[in-house]
Amino acid sequence: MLGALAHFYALHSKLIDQIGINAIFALSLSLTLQAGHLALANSAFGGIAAYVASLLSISRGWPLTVTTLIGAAAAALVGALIGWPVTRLRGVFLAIATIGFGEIALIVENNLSVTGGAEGLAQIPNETTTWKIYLVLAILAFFFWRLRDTRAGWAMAAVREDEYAAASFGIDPARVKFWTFVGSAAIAGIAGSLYAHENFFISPGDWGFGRMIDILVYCVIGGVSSPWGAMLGAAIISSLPEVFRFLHNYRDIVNGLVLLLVVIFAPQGIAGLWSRERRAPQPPAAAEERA
Amino acid sequence: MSTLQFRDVGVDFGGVHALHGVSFDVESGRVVGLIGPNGAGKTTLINVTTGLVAPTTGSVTLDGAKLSGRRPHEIARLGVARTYQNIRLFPRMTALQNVIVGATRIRRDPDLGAFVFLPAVRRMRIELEEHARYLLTRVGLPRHEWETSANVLPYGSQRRVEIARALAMRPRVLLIDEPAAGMNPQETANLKALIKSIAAEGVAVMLVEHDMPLVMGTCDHVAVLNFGELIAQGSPAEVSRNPAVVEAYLGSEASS
Repeated sequence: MLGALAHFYALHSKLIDQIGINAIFALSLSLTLQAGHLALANSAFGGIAAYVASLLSISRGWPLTVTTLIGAAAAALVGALIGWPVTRLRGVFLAIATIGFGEIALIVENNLSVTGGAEGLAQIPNETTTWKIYLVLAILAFFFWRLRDTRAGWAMAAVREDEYAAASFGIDPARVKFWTFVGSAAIAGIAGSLYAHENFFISPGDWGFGRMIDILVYCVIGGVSSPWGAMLGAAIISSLPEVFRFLHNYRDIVNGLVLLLVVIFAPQGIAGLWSRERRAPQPPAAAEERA
Repeated sequence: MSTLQFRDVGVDFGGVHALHGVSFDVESGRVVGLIGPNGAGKTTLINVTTGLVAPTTGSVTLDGAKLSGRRPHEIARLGVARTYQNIRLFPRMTALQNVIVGATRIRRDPDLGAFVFLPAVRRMRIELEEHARYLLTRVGLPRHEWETSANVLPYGSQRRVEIARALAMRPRVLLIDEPAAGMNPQETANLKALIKSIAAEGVAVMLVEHDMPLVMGTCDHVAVLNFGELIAQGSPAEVSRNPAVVEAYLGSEASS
């Protein structure tokens, strides 16, 4: 039994690590989604932290914990600077502003000499290990689990449901959005640093809009406002290329199909399939109307 | 004892006078009715009080503290609660959860406590739920609807949860916007008793309502708006005898 497990791990350790890192990325986006706003800069924040942490690892040789924390702090700081103006935007405007920020970050990474430009940064020490990834994931899962019961957690849920009504009960929607945005940037930063120290090499292309869409897909598949769904979504979507390996170049089509099917038949995601609200009798229009 | 004061409140929406020179008081322990035809500016006055709309002239104060100029959540924290005419419950939360959010202003549990399983946090949670159950009982929400998502509750129940949620913040001022819309006579009678009991606890209540028997039977004082201006105020009996009111409001209702 143990031997079989060891064998499975030996075969799939890379995938298992990827799932864990992607799950952390998914949690980072889940934090802002739980407060009801769509900010699409998590890949960019992952990239900022990855560059900061990698440069420190290469030049100073500091351990992963230190570089990752500094990287995440840098991402959070940048998140705070751009979060101040952009979290006042609503809906699609916030989405567009954050996509714009992501593009700017890419251009900067492509042109700075310290980031290695388009050629990227090589020889990053390979310090990320499976247990480190899953330790981080466990800590974050605990954080998200307990967050629900705090005033901050209730405030996030209230703002997600109706920010005007939330404000009339003393909750400041702008503050909730700002801090979830900063927290989201920090968590994305941790994921970015772990990714960099897993892969020896990073380049601006690793942090583009494509990765952002991947992260969004994890959350949508799992269930937009559920951190558990986000992690599950990351696990499923990250495994698909492996599962559908026999389809070679047609794999992306299957990925797209899975996404389409989920959006059409389970708009609340996988988490929504067994959550209470789905089981409760609902008039057909009520759920969609408020969504 | 709290007093909500409107002084010369005026609101311009791009040249349209939504409100003009409105002055009156809402004292704690009393129910002040705000009536007037559709579009007279009643809801606008509530929105000015809660900070959603900035007054162009004049001010709203609560015990001398200026409310106008503050943001909605700051005004709420001072103890100004409201219900919405076009119900704004948190749709995918249960009735009970809606009321718990209403209590945000009075929650004192340390936010980090939940992460170290502090017993005080658990106790606070239990207290919050007990308080919410008490309020849902008080507004007369049937027990089997407590755990139901707000968006699937019957209309009348949604209005009741709105009031319970507003009471959860232990308000000094309660602004109720058309609570009787869609209620049957029995429900309206219960509502009347409820509003009177809220005022009896020392809350300053302002009631915006079209149901004249409810207004006349509940309010200690009535203010009448027409085209954004206060055309009369006084006791329910005085107001209902006032010819300007009869013409502007009761008269137009009767002829329509």
